[in-house]
Amino acid sequence: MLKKRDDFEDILEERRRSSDLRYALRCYTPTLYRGLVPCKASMLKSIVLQSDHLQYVIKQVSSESGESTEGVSEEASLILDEMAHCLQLSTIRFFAFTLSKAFKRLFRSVCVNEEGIQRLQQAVQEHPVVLLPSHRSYMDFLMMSYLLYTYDLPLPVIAAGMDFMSMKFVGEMLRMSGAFFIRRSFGGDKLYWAVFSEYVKTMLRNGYAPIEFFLEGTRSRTCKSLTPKTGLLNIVMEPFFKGELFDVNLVPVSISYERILEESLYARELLGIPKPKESTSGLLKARRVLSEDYGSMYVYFGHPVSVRSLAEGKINRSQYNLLPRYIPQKPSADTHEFLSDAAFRLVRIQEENMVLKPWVLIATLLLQNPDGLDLSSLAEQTDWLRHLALAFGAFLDWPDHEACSEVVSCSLALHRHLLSVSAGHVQLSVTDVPQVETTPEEAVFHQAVVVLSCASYRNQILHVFLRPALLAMAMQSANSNRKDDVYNGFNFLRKVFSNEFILCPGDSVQDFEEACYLLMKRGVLQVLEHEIVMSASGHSTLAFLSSVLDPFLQGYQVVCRYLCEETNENLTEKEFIPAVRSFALKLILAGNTCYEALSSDLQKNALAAFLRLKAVRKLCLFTFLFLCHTGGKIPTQKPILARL
Amino acid sequence: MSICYHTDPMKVVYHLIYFAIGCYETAYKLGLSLSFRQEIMKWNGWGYSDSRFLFNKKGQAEFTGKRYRLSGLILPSLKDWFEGTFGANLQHKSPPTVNLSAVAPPNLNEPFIEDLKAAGVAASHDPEDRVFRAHGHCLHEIFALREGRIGRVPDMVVWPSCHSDVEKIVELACKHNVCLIPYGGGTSVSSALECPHEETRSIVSLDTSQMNRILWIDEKNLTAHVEAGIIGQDLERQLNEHGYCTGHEPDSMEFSSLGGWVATRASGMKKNIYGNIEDLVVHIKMVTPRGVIEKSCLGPRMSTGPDIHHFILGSEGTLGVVTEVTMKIRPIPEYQKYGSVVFPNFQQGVACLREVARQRCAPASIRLMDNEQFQFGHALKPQVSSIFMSFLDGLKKFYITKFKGFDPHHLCVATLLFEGDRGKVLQHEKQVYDIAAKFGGLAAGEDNGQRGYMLTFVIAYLRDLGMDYYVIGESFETSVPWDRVLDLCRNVKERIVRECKERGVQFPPLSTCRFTQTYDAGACVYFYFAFNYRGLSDPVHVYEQVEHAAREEILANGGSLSHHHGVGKLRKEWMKESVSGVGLGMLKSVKEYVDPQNIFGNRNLL
Repeated sequence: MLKKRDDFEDILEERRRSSDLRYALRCYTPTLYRGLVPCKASMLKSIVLQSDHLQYVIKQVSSESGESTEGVSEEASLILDEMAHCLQLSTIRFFAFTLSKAFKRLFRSVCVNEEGIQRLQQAVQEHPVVLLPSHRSYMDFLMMSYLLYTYDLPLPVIAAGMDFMSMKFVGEMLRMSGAFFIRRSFGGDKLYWAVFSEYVKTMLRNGYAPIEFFLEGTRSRTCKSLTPKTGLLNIVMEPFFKGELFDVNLVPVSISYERILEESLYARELLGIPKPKESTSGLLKARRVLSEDYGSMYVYFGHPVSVRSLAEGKINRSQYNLLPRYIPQKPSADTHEFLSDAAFRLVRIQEENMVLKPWVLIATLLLQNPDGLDLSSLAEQTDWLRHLALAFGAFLDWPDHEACSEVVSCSLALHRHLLSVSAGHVQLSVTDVPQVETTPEEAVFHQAVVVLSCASYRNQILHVFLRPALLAMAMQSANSNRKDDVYNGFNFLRKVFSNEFILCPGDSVQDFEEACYLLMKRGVLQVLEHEIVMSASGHSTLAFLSSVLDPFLQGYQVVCRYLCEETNENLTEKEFIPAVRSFALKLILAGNTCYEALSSDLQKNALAAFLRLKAVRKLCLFTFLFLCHTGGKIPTQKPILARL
Repeated sequence: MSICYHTDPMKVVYHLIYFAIGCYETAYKLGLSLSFRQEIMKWNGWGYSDSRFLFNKKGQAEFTGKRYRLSGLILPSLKDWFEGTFGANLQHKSPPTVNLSAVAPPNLNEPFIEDLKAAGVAASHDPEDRVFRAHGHCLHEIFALREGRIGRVPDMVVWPSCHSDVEKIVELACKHNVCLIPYGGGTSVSSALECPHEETRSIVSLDTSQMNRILWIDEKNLTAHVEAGIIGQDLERQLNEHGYCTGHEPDSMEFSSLGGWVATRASGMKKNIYGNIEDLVVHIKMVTPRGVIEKSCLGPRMSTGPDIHHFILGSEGTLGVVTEVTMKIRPIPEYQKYGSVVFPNFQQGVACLREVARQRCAPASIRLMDNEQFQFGHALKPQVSSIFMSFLDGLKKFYITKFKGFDPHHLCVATLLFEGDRGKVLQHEKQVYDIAAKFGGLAAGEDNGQRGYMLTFVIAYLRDLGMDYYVIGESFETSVPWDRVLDLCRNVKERIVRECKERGVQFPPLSTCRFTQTYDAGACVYFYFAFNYRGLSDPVHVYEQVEHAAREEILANGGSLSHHHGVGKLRKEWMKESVSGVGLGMLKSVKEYVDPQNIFGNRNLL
């Protein structure tokens, strides 16, 4: 199971030794795409505006709206102005200098897999490249451009959310370092979509620069991978589907942080303290973060995935033969399925290549033991868990030749702000509580911040345990050892949690087999022809695995109970989160559920899952979204409740 | 086989007669054998036995014989190009082997033969006659012959001498349930002549070569009524004697037959003036198991339901035998002029061709070679006779590459052929060169143009040279809308390179293309693909896999299954995808009605 992993190189080592200024001003000669059509950023704009595709949509929009084509063209041009990047090497050099300083203060090391860089160098020359980094922090795309500059690779253009634009100056700085800005939602706006997709495709077709975007669409506040979006993926694949490019290389990049900069910020946001609007002054205030130690950061450049080989046998490209290629075509059902499947696979590659630190294991254990653990037993259990994780193929960065207790205490030190350690006893707890009196509710929230922060580390390793844990849970709740019963339970849980975790639709049999295989290999289970039997020594592993998912199950149960018990009337979507939150708060105060039930992410996922499973129904679109129970709700929920 | 014939003094005499007269028909009238053609042509390679490329003792390439402009000349740069392009080595030879003992004894239908004798139709079951008609010119067919591997071959050959002979043969075939495979010029490149392995009946090759007369010429309507077995060059030569031509000149016209053109929907290089075969035919007579199909008049166009000619055109020998065709003829053009244009790159060249098509001012022929083919064309330049010429060549090269800044690794060439009365040709020429100039094209002389066209006739011979040195290759074609041509060319060429690499081909293949026809809505693109197969255990299989992948790529990029080669058995698997299930069903139901016993059992197309 353990694959040979690439070696990492710490790029900060060189930065600590030599001049940052000289580094920022060094000669930059990137490897280029062999089919490059030389083109300046300004020319790009006119190519896009004059493209057949955009001209077609402009005429269409103009005839539909009655506006003159000049007016619509003008509008398109404004959209493009708002969107377009203006990548400048000088800005990159500025960032290279300042980021060097910042990174050196923030991180002990920034480790990059060199082989991945070499593979990328090759890929960049052969076909247009799309970089697909995971998204956990604002740092991600600054880091990406910084690394590509460092390794003499072409600088990417990055699809960024419009929210950055509102940051004066910084927005423009980002624009000059290659970011282009897209509105968060433009569902029905044909013209916007046309400008945007043509802009991206033109850059791709001409080999202007690698395109970088985040499959997950936004930063994951929980450190779990988010269900991928397929819109941009479709845009970058279409030139291949339509034969305009021979191939496109997708390069999944996994960026992991030993300590996330936005850690407590995310936890607060999940608890309903709204995300502060991106502003320059906010960023300046964030300078405080510069004084802390964030451990190491890892960037793993995955193997380039060729769109051509992904699509082999799945996409019939001749479906594009009968329509002129400039006429926009909604992806067919087959294409949709393919895109979603590809997106899931790419996110799973991201997950698999995510470097995990020992702290992730410790956090998992501490969350399962809210009353804390003795240092010695923590070390012992961490070691046990380490072996389990490795057996399941985790990409664990465990220091060589160090005693387990040593590793544990190092990790505890880095994350001391989440812990209280006294007399050899470790516990998750609030460390910097204001001394003023707090209400019980406030205390819950304070503790919840710690728990959710800690959960964000555990979440990093969830993908390793997910499938076996679903199996463990299914076995616990199944009435028999019969394989079909267990599989049915597994499949049910998989369906319930498919908004929560990355579970490729249609992979349930494969996932089940993988889970069986892993647990069998570990000696936890015996899989017979019709039965699955737990072995004598398997109990502790199964117990551990099912309690990994326990907080999620509890959280879903809270949402369920809320929907069953508290709401008889229709409920608007807006009211849902605050209402569930206060419901969960009551339960926590009564000692009836865990802190994670407070996470708005979990609550939203649960609602989405119930909607998908048709346990709840949306009554009306537009602003007032009503929810109501449907008849199908009770039977669906019962099994969840029953399994607790 | 042809080697043995030379030992026969009578055959040598026939050859002498042939060379003296230069025409099959006359040679036949003088009493030459029924299988005369196979005596002057290679049995395991392309074209005439006397014409072939070889590397002489000095290692220089030369082209033998006297038939072509290139014949008897030394080609000094071919060796370097050959070795450089394919990584081939003159020390590593892969000569053909001769093994005729492998021909299985014929499966004869005696009652059929007896009835045939009674009807007075010439026939033979001589192994040489049968092997000669058992294949076309696909790579795998020729490769197998060179290796002495001979599969299922026809059990006998019949030579009808006129339409009524064909009627008799078809009637007897139905009566005795034998399988008929019509054979015209034998230049198929779609496995159309291959005998189906699953065929258990006696297979009879129906050779139309004796039906080669022009029956009448009608100068009032400018039509000629011709027997379908006539070979292209003979038809043209005989019409020329009367001051006419058909203008139909496919690259295979030296060997292919009129009936074959009709059966495959052939296209000639001068279609811009004369049209493709479907535009040229006025009337077709075909013998089917159901009887004879033909129209009742010679009207130039009819609105009488779907045109029944279109069931015949492209039927690939599955419905019957085309016996007689009335086709349009034209007075021989007063003036012909070749020309050529150099473009800085392929994109510009394509843009120019597109503009020419837009303005509908294409000359009789306009073709565009990509850079690889341009280099290949260069390699076939004969030794220059004088220092002055070589100086001039150097000067031209200097002008184009240094003065005009064309990159020799990107530039590409269009070749042109103008036809008509002199004044109009010159005017037309100017118009085309003016368009070319807008796309950066430089006129590059008549000579280059003419050589380009001559090359299309000798290029087929070159494959045999390659096969002597571990290089195999083939061409294939498609038609594609203008907006997709560049993408298609790039993707297909790249796919070929990539597939070769993945399948263990040691040296990058030659993967090149050219435009051979332009239309209002698109172009016909020809791909050439060849590689050095040393180190591969089953080169033909690798070749077939790559060609298959290339065809998939063509279809995925909006190209057609075939522009003029036809489907045969080679491309059958894509027919449904190409014409839809209903379309295929229509064709099948026609087959079922016309030939319920599957007498025309070559299993092409459907």
